[in-house]
Amino acid sequence: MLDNEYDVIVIGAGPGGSVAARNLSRLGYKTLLLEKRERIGYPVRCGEASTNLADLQTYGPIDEDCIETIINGLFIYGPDGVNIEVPKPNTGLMLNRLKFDPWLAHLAANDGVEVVTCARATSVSDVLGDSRIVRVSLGQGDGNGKVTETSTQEIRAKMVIGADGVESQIGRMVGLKTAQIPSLTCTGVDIEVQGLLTKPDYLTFWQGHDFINDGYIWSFPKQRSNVTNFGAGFIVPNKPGPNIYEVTLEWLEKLFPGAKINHTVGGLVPVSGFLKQYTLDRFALVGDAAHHTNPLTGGGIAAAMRAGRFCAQRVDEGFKAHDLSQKFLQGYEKHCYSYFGRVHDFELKFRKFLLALNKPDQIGLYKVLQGFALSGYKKRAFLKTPIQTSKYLYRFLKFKG
Amino acid sequence: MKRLVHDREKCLECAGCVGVCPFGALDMFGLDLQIDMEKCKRCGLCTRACPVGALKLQEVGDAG
Repeated sequence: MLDNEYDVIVIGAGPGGSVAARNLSRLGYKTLLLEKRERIGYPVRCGEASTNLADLQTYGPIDEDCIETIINGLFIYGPDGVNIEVPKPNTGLMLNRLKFDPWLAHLAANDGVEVVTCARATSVSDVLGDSRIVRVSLGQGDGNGKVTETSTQEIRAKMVIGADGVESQIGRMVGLKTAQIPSLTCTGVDIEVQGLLTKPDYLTFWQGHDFINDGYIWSFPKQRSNVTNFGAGFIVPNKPGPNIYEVTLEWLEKLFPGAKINHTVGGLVPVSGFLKQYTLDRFALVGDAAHHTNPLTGGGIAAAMRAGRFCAQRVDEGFKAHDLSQKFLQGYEKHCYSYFGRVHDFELKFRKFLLALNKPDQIGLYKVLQGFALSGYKKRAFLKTPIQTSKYLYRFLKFKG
Repeated sequence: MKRLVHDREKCLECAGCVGVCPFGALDMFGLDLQIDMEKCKRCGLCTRACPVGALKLQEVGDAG
């Protein structure tokens, strides 16, 4: 049995939820973190690459066990054999989310958060007086992920934070339009293959190929475990066709014949840019639930953690000002937008631009970028781009301007 | 008449279908997908979003 009243209830113990809960607890708020799954972080629904170290390292160094690879660059196989290498020492990490997510939740628990698994929020009430009431279904796991409900409880909280990921159910309970829109959602799989398939400290991508034009294929090495996350994602198709798993298997066989598959995970990624609104009176969304994922790369771990921090900060200010109204919590939305929402808007536009190009234009653009990369990213060399590719460059610049 | 069918063997339990269902007909507790047949409008959106094709709209014979 849980207490009947908390200052804050956070729903969902992924990176965003755990960070928000931990920060609030450290500030002295009585915080409950609910996770509907039996095991935090399982099943993984992610390619596990992250390229924003500053956000990940908010609490200091990440537990070594969670780090699979230090990433020192990107390699892109573009269309028509145009390959681009982007060396970037220490640009990111390959994580082991089966360890990373529980580690973050553990940090939260150590800082006083009450963390409960097999606990699902089944409804969130409107604001009643100075709180909302969350109905929680508490269950028992069988050790294999199957959860059976054992009791239900109604819990009051002055503030509710939904960090329930791509499912986006909590937002819907309180009337926000969080359902994923197919044309703005990516469906993906990640196949763990034995051994390191590509450059061991680089993230490798295949992009701009006919078969998977509106997404990309990735090969992410996990050095510590000596495996590779080989996966792909594309926009949810608007008519029936081969699913992303079949497409990825085909590519795996084509690129790395005979690769030994360990297991496969899947998931959906919001690539719409931020939701227009994700706060209400005494309510806020964090991470995938608020569509905080990057609309070009689909990356969302660092973004969710940053949003978790920003959310906790605003909620703290709200408690102190005795104001947890939507109007006040909008400050959190604005904070997120100015830090990374604006960039996401740009990347969304860039994705649309990229996808609208016809094949020759697309190849032309890749050649320009390749030339830029080969020049060591010097502007002067960029200006010496051959005439035949200059029109792509012009279009690209025009797009940016 | 069509009916939404879930293949447990194929399912990766990613719950993506829950997020895309416009009618809130899908729910996942633990690793079990629950389909609310009353709410399901057989739009087929989840069948296209599912990464592994674990959801299918199947014709239900009414030749009884």
